[in-house]
Order: sequence, then structure tokens, then C-alpha cells
Amino acid sequence: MKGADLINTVLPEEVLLDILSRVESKPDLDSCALVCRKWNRIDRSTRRTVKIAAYGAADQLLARVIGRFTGLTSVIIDELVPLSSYFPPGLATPSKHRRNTLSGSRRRNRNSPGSSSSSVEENGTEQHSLSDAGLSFLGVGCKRLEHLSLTWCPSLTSLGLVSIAENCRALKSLDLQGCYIGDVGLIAIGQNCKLLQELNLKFCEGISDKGLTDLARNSNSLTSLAISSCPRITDMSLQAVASHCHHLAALTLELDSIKDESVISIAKSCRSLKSLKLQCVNVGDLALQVVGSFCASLEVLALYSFQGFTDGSLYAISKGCKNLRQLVLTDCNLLTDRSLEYIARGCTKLEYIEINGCQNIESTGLESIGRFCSGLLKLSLVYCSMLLKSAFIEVGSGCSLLQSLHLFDCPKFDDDAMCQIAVGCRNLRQVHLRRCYEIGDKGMISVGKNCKYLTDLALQFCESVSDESLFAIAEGCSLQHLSVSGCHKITNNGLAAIARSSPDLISLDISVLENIGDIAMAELAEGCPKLKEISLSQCTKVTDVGLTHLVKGCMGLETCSMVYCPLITASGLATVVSSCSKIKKVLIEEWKVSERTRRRAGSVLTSLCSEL
Amino acid sequence: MITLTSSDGVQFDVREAVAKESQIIRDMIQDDCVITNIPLANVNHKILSIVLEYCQMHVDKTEMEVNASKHQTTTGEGSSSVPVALKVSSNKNLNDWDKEFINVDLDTLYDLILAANYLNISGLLNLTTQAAADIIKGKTTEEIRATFNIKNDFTPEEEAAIRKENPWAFE
Repeated sequence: MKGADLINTVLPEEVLLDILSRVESKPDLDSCALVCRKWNRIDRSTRRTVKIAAYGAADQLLARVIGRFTGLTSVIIDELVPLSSYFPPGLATPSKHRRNTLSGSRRRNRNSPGSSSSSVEENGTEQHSLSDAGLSFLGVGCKRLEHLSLTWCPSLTSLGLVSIAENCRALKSLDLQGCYIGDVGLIAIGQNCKLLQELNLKFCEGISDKGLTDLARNSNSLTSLAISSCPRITDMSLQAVASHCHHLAALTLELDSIKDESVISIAKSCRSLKSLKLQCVNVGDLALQVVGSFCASLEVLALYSFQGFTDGSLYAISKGCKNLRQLVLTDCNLLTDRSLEYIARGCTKLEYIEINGCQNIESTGLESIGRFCSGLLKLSLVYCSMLLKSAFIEVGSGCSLLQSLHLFDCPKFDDDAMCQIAVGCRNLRQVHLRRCYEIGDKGMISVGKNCKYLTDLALQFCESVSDESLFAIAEGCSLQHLSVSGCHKITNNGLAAIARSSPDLISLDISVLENIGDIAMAELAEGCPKLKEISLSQCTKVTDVGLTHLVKGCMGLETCSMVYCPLITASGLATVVSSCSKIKKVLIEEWKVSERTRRRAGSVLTSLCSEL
Repeated sequence: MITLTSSDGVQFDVREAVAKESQIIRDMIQDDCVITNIPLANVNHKILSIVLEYCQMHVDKTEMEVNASKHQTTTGEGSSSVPVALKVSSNKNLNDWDKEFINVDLDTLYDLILAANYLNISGLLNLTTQAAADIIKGKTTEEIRATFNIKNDFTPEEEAAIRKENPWAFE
């Protein structure tokens, strides 16, 4: 039986179908679809998820995709998806103009809803994007749709959404971020899609209280709701959410128009609330005190505010929310160390804490976290200029499970503190330090010696770090991700050590390193065959020859940034584009792109704006 | 004890609980409780012994867990965390065991899939079809064809057309 095609002849078709439905990623499924006719047919009936760009000839593309795949349940149409290189003949071809103006001009469109339908740009080029007609086609073609994501689709109106509502009764999650949908569309969703659980209305400026109130009345199964920057949403509609959506588990509100009362009502009626994220200038302690009293199952709390919250808020949370696992405090300037002390003593299950720019939080708060939260897995501190060494020493001795450490702009974090953490937290997998100028080789040598599980290291603009650090890391760890952007002292020698010891390296950022040259490129080609992403921007000594070396070994390269590299020319770019078949994104000055390269790989080139 | 007879006439004596990992055997035993000998026409002795090894292991592990939780209630320690830890570790061990168990050549994998499908052993069917899917993952079309000896039955024009259709979106 050797050499026979048993998988197609011996296995029943339903079993083969089961096997292929377990192959999930798009590249794998695309490969399967090309194997033989039978597999192609199976793929067309079992493919569940597609993701396409919101711009380009989105309607036609969507129509073709719906025509090919008959069992879709999840459709994602996203502005951020790179434009497909495939354009059906006779449709608009991708123009470089659209690529360059992509985010800017289209986001500006938000403010001028009148011009939202298939706008014409200044130079007269027609800009395509998903239209109501395209969306209606999706509704009629995919009645089993469960997940629909339409982010930043500027041409869509309620009309298209009504068609989805009337056809896709099984819809469970709907993401409308940045779409100018009106109340009529939202009301239709509420009336027709009774299974709706997740709804994202961030930046849906066209929606008002009328729409949200009606939706809330009809959507008893809603578990997740996110609203931000919708100026016509007020306390009135959120009261309706509180009265009708009792199963709400996740709520994100970024609204300046609402007051404490909304959050209080929701906290009182949605007892199963697990995640609460608030960025509302008029919401403060009163609301959080009620959350603390009623939401015992709260696991995630994120507060973004300049002055809304004082220590009283966190005291209430520490008393009532014993299951809290994640806490994010951003720009809460009235909070002091006492807040963290309350949390540390009250919420001992804490796994993740992020503090960003809360200027009154000093060392003793973090010391308490180190002392009481032994289960901490991830610590992120950004712009915490007041934190002293003593705080990190407590974390090092108390949080032995810590896996991830992010410190951006913590000027007092020094080698001794790093050594304490490295010795105490040997499970560290991820260390990201940015602009920690007191960090030098001593700290990194300790990390290399103690943290053998480390796979992800970023030392951005930690200017005291030199090759010695990389030698120690190379000796002790096997990295998958490394960024040493702006660590001027690092040379080819340090990078060679990393290249030789990191066969699994996937991403590397060596931008702004003046001492790195072509030798390092050759070492990477030799040692890191799995490299997918590299940033060489402002590596002034890397030349076309270095790129030629690089692509010989790193053929799976997907992303390559090389802006401000004076010695890299059009020919170096052509080498990268022609050698790396998986390349998706290249960042380079526009004038370096030759006509031939543009023809060959226009759609993957993200050129910088022409004025640069 | 129940006797299972393979397609090539080899008899296996197994505990009822082990045989009942198979849905069809479970149904047969429920229909008529005096059955003691079940002939399995579609499974040879080599594959049946592997299948029974799987069932035996999974029954043993489940019984161990039940005993552990009984132990917990009889000793009255209530929310003692020991049995939980034990359960977690035994789950982990079972996953490792499964992984080792399924490390077989393709022909055996097909036979196991067919046997699991015929005997309706959902755990084994999950395990084997997932293993087949894992073999497919990360391979190019040509590598898949080579691995499974599948003949390309597209005309060059058809293949080119599908290849052209494929990059309609990125991940």
C-alpha cells in the first residue's frame, strides 16, 4: 500500500472534513485548497472565517469571497488589513496614492458624515470602500453569520446594517468601531439579533440615546459592551442598559457626557460584571464605591482619568472585589501609595498591574504589592519617576512567579534593582525596558545568569547597555524577540553572540545603532533562519551587501524597516523584495522604490510619506 | 469482563468499563445486558490492541480521579487543595501520555481514525483527527501532496486560477 493516497480513499468524507476543519490558519487552509479537487471542495464548504481589507474594491472582493465559501460564520472587514495583492481584472487597481493617504484622510472623514459615501479624493481618484450594497450582499449570502467586525468602514450607514439585522439572526458579536452607523441600524440589530452578546460601538459618532436605549431593551443576552467618543450617548441610555442587560460581564465606557449615576446603576444591576474600563471625566469615587459594594466578581479594572479617583475608590475595590486579577491605573493623579497598599492587602489574587503616569504613587505602594501579591505575573510601570530601588527589591523577593516586566521611563530603576528582580523572579519570560538610563551591563548579566526562560527582551534607549549584556543574554537565554533600539554601545560582536545562540529568533529591532554593519547581517543569516521581522532604520553602516547576506539565510522575512539608511539603495530593496517570498511590509523612503520593484511588489511596500 | 474479537479472530478480555469507552459497545450492552462476546468486524487485532491500550489508560485515569475526590469527601477536609492539585497533574500526565501515544506512522494513524470512528470513541477520534490536522499545518501544498501521496488532479489552468484567488486577504 506504500505510495497510495489513503487519506482520500480510505477515510470517510466526514472524517476528512473534520480533519480539515481543525486546520485553522489562512495560509494552511489556502495550501489545502490547492491539494486536489476534493480538498478544494471541502475547503469551500468548511471555511468559517475570512478577513478582508475595508478599502480597495471591498464590495467586489466580498462578493467573490462569499461566492467561494458557503459556510462562513465569521467575517472581519478591517481598515488595518493590508490591501490584497489580488485584484480581479476590470476593477480598480491599487494606486500608491491610496496607500499613502490611507489612515489620514479616511479618519478625517469621520467628521464629515455627509461626504461618507464613496468619497472622491482631491485629485479625482475614486476611493472604494465597503458600501451598504456590499454589506447587504453579505447579509443575504451568509445567513449563519455569528461574528461580524466592520471597523472604520467610512461608507457604511444604517441601511447596510438593517440588512444584516434582518438576515443574520444568529449574530452573536458585532464590532462597528469607527463606522458612521445611525440609530436606525442599531435598533434593527436589537430587534432582530436576539442572541447578540458582544457589541463594540467605539467611535460610532452617529449613535444617540434613542438607538442605544432601544437596543438595550431588546438585548437581554448582551454580555459585553464598549462605547467611546459617542457625544450623543448620555446617562439616559446607560440607565436603560442597567435596567435590561443584567448579564453584562464586560463594560468599557470612554464618554465625557456620563456621570457617576450610570456606573452606579450598572454596578447595582449587573452583578456578574467581570471587567470594567472607565475613561469618563465625570465619573469618580462615588461610582467606584458602589462597584466595590456590589461587583464581587470583578476581575479586571482599568481607570483612566486625570482627577476622578482618589484613594477612597481603591479602598472600596479592595474591600469588595476579592477576585480582582488585573488593575490598570492611567493618569490617576490623585491616587497615592495608600491605594496600592489597600489593593495589595485586599486583592491578593492580583496577577497583572499596570501603572501609567500616576505621579503621586511612590515606592511604598509597590513595596506592598511585592509583599502581599505573590501571584503577580505581569508588572508594567510607565512614567513612574518617583519609584525607588526599595520597591523593586520587594517585588524581587515577593513575586517569584513574575513572568513579564515592563518599565518605561522609570529613571531610578538601576542595576541593583534589576539584579534583585533577576535573582528573585527566575520565571521571567519577557523584560521590556525603555529609557532606563541607570540600567547597565551588571543588571543584564544577572538576567542572563538567572532567567533562563527569557524569550523576549527589549532594551530601548537604555544607553549604558553594551555588548557585555548581549554576551550574557546569549549565554543564558534563547531569545525569540529582541529590541536593542538606540543602545549605542552595541556592536557587531554583541549581535553576533545573539545570532549564534538564538536559532528561534523571530523579531529583531536594531534601529538607531551606528556601530552595526554588514557583518552582523551575515551572522543573522547564519544563525537565525526563523527571523520574520527586522528593523534596521537608522543603521547608518548597513549596506546593500549586508541585505544580500541577510536574505540568504532569513528567507521567511515578512517585515523589514529600513528608513534613514543612507547606504541602502533601490537595489538593496529589490534584493529583499525578490528574495523573500513571504514579505508583507517594507518601510523605506519613497524615492528608493524603483519602477520595477513597485510593479513587482507594490502592495507590500509601505512607503514613508514623500516629504521625508 | 467482556470478550472483544478482532476481525482476524483474536480475542481480547477487557473490563466492561474499558469496553464502554466505545459508544457502540455501550449501546449494545445497554440493549442486552447478557452480551459477553462482541465481534468487531472492522478492526484487526493489531489496531484493536492499540485502541484498548488507549481506553484502558483513560478509564484508569478517570477512576483515579474519582477515588481522589472520594478520598477528599470521606476525610472531610472540604476545600483542601491537595486533590485539586492531584487532578491537575493527572490531567497533565494524560495529555503527555496522549501525545506520546499518538506518535505513530501515517498508516497506523489512518487505521486508528477508522477504528475510533467505527467504535465511536470520541476522545480517540478527537486525538487522531487533531494529529492528522497537525501534520497538515505549516506545510505547503506540494509538501501536503507528498506527505499523503495525493495526486494533483487540477489542470494547470485550474490550479493557476485558484492560486491567483488565494491572496485575497492577509492574516
